[in-house]
Amino acid sequence: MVVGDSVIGLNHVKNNIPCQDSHSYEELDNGWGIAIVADGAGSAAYSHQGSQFVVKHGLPLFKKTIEENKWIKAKKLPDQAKWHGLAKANLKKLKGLLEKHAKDNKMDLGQMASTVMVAIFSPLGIMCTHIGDGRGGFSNFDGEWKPLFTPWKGEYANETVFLTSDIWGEKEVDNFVESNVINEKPFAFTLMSDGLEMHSFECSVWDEKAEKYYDPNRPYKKFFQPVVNGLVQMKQNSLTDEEIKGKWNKFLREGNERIKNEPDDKTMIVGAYFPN
Amino acid sequence: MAANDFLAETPENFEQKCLCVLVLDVSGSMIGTPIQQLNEGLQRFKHQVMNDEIASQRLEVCIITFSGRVACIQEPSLIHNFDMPTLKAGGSTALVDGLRRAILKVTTRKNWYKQTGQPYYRPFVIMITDGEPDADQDVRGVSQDIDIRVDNKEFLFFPIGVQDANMDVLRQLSHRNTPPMMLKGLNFTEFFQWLSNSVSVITKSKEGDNINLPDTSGWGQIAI
Repeated sequence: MVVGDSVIGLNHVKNNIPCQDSHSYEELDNGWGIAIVADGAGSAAYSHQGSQFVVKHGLPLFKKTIEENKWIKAKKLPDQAKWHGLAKANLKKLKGLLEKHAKDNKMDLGQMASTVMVAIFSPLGIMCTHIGDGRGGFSNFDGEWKPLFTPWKGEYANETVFLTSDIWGEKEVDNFVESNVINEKPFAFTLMSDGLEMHSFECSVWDEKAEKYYDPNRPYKKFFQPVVNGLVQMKQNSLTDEEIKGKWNKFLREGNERIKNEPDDKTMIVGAYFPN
Repeated sequence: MAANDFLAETPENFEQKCLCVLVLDVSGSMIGTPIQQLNEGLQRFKHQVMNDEIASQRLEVCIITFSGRVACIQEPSLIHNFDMPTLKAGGSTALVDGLRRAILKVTTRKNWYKQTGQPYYRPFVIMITDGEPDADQDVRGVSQDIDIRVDNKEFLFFPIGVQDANMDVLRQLSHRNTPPMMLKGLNFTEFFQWLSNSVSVITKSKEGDNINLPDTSGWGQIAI
C-alpha cells in the first residue's frame, strides 16, 4: 500500500504563498509502482505550477519506461548504468516539456523551478532518481532503514539545484542527476520534500571521533517504523484508503509540535509491502 | 482522532545557524537619547527573538561597536546564551574599521561552521550609524570590498542611517540590491521589532528565496 500528501508550511501560510510541493503515485501490477515528489523553488513565483507540472507529466514518462522495458513481466531490474541513462533521458524530456509549457504560456522557465524525486518500487528492489534536495529511504525485511540517494546541497542550508537549472551540459549533468538501483527486497520506502527531513532523518549529528557535525542521511527508524506499523494496522482494521489518507494529512499537518511548527511545505509518500 | 496516529518520534538534529553581525555606531554624537533608545531596542530585539522557537535556535548574534576604536563586545552566540550589553557612547567614528572587523568576523565564523560541519545560512551584516566617518577612513576601499563579497554571496549587507548620518557615504557603502535606509527619528524600538520579524523570516527561508522582509514603514524610509 502507498499513502502520500503535500501540506502547506507555516511560513507559506503567513506570507500568503501557495504550497509549492507536489506529489503523485500510482500502484501498478504485481506490487510495482511509481512515486514522485517535486518541491518548487521559494524564489520562483510560479514554482507551485512548476512542481504540479513535474509530477503530472513525470509519472507517465517513467510509467512508459517500465512498460517499454517489460521489467514487470521479466521480473528483472535493469543495471545501474542502463537505469541512470533512462532516468536522465526522462528528466531531460520532462524539462523540455516544462520549457514548452512555459513558452506556450509566455512564462519564464526559471519562475517554474522545481526539484524532482522519483522512485519505482517493486518486490525486487527500488530504482530512484532525483535532482535537488529532499530525501528518500527504504527498509529491508530485517528492519534496517537506508537512504535511497544523497540530497544536493550548496554552501548554504537549503541551497539546491532544480530541474530547470543550468545543469544539463554533458560534462556536468552527472554531478546533479543521481540515479540508483537498489537490488534489495524492500519492506517499505519513503520519498519526501526537505520540509520533513529534520523531523524524520538524521541529517545533522555529532561525530565523536571526528569532533564535528555531519549528515549521516539516515532515515530515523523510530519515526518510520511506527509510521509503517500504523499504516499496516489501519489497513488490517479495514480503514478505507480515504480514511487512511485523512489520517496521513492530519499527521503531516500536526503530527507533533515540531512538524506542526515547520515553516516549509511538507510532502511525504510512504509505501509498504505487508501480508494480505 | 489523535494528531499523531503513527506515534512517530523525531530525531535530534543540530539546527542550522544564521549569523547576524550588528555593527553599531557608539561615537560621541550618540550620547543621550540616541544611545538610550538603541539600548532599549537591543533589549527588545533579544526578547522578541527568544520568543521565536525556531529563530532562537538558529540565530547567532555578534555585536561590534565603533567610536574612535572598534570592539567586538559580543562574539557570535545564540541569543539566550548572553545578556544584551548596555552600550555607552563617546569618541569619533571609525566606521570603516568597524565594517572591516565585521567582514573578518563573518569570514572567521563561516570557516568555523565549515570546520565543525555545521549547516548555515548566508550571514547578514547590519550597520547603524548617525555620523560622518573619520577623515582617515577608507570608505571607497571598503565599499568595493563589500560589493565584491555581496556579489559573491558571502553575506547580505544592510546600512541604516540615523539622524545626521551622511547618507552619501551610506549610499557609497551599500550594495545596489540593498540601498541604505534612514531611521525615522530615533525609532530604534520599531527598527529592532522589524529586525526580529525579519530574522524570523530569514531563518525559515530557502537560500535563493526572494525574501519578502516585513514592511519598514514603521521605522524607516528609503534615503533619497
